[in-house]
Amino acid sequence: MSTSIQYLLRRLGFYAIAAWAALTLNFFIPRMMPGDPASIIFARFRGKLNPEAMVALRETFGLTDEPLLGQYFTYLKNLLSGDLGISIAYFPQPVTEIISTALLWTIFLAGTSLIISFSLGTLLGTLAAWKRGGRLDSFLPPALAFFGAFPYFWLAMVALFTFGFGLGWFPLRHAYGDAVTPGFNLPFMIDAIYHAFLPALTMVMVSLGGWMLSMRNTMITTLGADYITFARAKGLPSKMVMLKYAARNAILPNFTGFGMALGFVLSGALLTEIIFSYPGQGYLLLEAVRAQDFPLMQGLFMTITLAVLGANWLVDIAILFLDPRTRR
Amino acid sequence: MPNPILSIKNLNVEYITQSDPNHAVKNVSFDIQKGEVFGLVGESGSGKSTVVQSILRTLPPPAIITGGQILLNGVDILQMSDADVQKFRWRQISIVMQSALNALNPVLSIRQQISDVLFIHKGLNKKEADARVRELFDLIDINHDRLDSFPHELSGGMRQRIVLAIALALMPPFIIMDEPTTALDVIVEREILFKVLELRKELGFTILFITHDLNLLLEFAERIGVMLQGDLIEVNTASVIGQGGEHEYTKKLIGSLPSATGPRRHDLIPLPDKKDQEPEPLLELRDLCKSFNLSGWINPKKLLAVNDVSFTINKSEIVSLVGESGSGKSTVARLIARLIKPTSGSIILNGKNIFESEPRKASLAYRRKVQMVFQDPFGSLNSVHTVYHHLERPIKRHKLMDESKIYQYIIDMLEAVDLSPGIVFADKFPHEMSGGERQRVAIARALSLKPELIIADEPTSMLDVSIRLDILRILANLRNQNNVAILFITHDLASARYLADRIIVLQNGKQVEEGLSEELTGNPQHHYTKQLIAAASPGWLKKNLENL
Repeated sequence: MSTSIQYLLRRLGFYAIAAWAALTLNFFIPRMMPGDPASIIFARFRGKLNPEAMVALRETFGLTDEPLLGQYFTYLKNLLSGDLGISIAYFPQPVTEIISTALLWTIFLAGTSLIISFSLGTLLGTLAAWKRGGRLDSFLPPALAFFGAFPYFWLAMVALFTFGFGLGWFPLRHAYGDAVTPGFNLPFMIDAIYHAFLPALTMVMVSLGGWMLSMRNTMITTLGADYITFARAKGLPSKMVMLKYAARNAILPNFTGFGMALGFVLSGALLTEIIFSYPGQGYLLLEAVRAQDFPLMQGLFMTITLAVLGANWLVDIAILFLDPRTRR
Repeated sequence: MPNPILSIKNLNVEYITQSDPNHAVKNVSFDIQKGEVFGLVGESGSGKSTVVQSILRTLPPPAIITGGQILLNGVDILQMSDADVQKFRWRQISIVMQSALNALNPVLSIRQQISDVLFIHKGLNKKEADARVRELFDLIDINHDRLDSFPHELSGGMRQRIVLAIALALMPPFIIMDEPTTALDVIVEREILFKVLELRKELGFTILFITHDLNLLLEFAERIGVMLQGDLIEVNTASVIGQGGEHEYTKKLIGSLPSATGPRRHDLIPLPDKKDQEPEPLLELRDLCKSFNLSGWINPKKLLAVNDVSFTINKSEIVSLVGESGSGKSTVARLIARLIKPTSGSIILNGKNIFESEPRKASLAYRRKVQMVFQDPFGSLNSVHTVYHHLERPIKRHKLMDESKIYQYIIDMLEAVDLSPGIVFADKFPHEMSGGERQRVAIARALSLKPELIIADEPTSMLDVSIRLDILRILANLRNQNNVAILFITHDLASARYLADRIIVLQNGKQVEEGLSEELTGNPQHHYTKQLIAAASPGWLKKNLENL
């Protein structure tokens, strides 16, 4: 087991280096672009701001005349203390505050739909492969491939138009209604789920097919393995052979895919959030780009990077538990 | 007196496919008596494994049992309901699978895999099951600290014993062994078989032993059935079969077995044409070493696959490199073929150190002079190209001859390896040929460049027994007719003895013994060679069993 810990630490080290590289690029790229956020704000106020205020603004954004390297270390120091600066679009709210709210909504919406889609797809794939050529196996793959083939935004807009606008079953926008107070109370939670239902449904519908097909295919390969025949010859009940011997092995590659998808959850289901006006990371990113809000963009890129790396590390740990062959 | 535990009557199995329906088992009937060791021998496609899967009712679709009865203690297995089958499996019959190396679930510990059987069939609780697992471990001589190991952490021999332990978990009266030792090295094979027979003496179970290796079966089976293309052509006692049996095919099987010991049979493989001139060295290896980095850049581990190997191959000589898996014999082949670079040492071809004259990459001339034949005839030919294409490519690449002459040359090459008529074989695709025919194409391809040395890496190990000898004969004739030297790499001491002039024995990357074939097999010096020869000589098992 000690070698496993060594392995995890090595991976962690690798991710730390990757994170550092990403954060460094995150610092230098915006600074190589023409213009700076303070001038943008200055321009926005159309000269109603006096030059002293301009200097103050520049200082708030950390845009001092310090040499670049000095700025870089200040930047790193601020990052470590959790200070991402002040947003321009939502001035004067700090970036951390804005992102943390959006982050929660994104994790709630995209995270839940990913978990539902992964579990359901894997389960359906297992069953389809077990009864290969059966009813489930002949109906589901083409049906899901059909839905998966639509451009996502089109499917989402049709769903929104039909069930939201036309039939009026679901709300048209936002994460919760005006009638509830955000907090840990039942009406709010029900309302949040009600609002998330349609966007989550569209996301599950387009991604389900991929999870199911990949699980079905690895499962079919696994079912041909000698240890499956051996398990059957041992007289084990077929449910046990299916789950403990076949699915248990076939899920490993699917799980790696899950880890990668988990990382990309935080980059926001961009299109979903835009179409359903859902206040998550993706929606925020669009706003930030529109308003040329550099601190917010930087903050978002950073959270996304860290999320992808963090999720991968979690999967490394999980795979270590699931597959003994990786524990060397 | 006859008291059959298993009785198969007129069993028929067919593979129902649209393209080629195949009658895999035809009217097979035989009885197995209580307590006996019954051997079933046959080559690939003979239907022996299909018989086993019918007994356990694990036949995969599209195979269908189209007729017959399988009676176990008088009860027809084929008439049982699925629920009954599940109960009967393992309690009445267990199996040690063909490739036991893959028979274990890679993500469950050994303890879990044995316990599963005990939970389901005996309803034991965790503690009782654990005690039983420990008993079984004692039975197969494996230390208890291996209980929580995973399959990949164990050697092939150990995994095979674990599978044996699983088979014994419920003490069934009847155990099927389907090629249980095929993937193992001879010395390990011998240990496992000895263990099986020892346990049988102690516990008294009946064995149905399936194999393609008749030599092995003659060691311990009481009666033997011979299968050929779905037919059971002969059932006889082991001693009758050992004398050659009654059927033509049995005679051929017995006759096609070279042996590592005993007097040499001169009818099997032609001897080299007598030559009076002094041996002239062709290729010389000096202190060749190759190590591989295993893992980690913080504290890398090294595996010394080839450790100080030095030997010479003379012109038109056949030298055999013998060793078990992991001995480094294939690494030596790849080093000589210059597919990998050595860590140190030198290779001298025709008196020139090739690492001085062409240090980075082998020259075209070197590649032409040293050709290789690989182990797997199924993987070494590209399935989308014809035989003609496979032979034409190297000739064109090396600009060996005028375009107009190539066609006739290729036909001649095919005829030289007994692929006759060459015109027909030239247009075939790999999937239209048998394994033996493909291997001949691979030999013809190597030969067509008129090389000075052909490296043949286990060229017969994936082929059926009856055609192995043909391939060895072809290699022997090549040397006599084309003056080519051959490095024959094998794990099988018997074929090395018959084909090669000299044998070099490798163990764990080290060269342990070298000598003329007959001298080395007749009078081995190193204890490892002695072990290898003992394991390959007839009668070893009987001798040891008598001492039980």
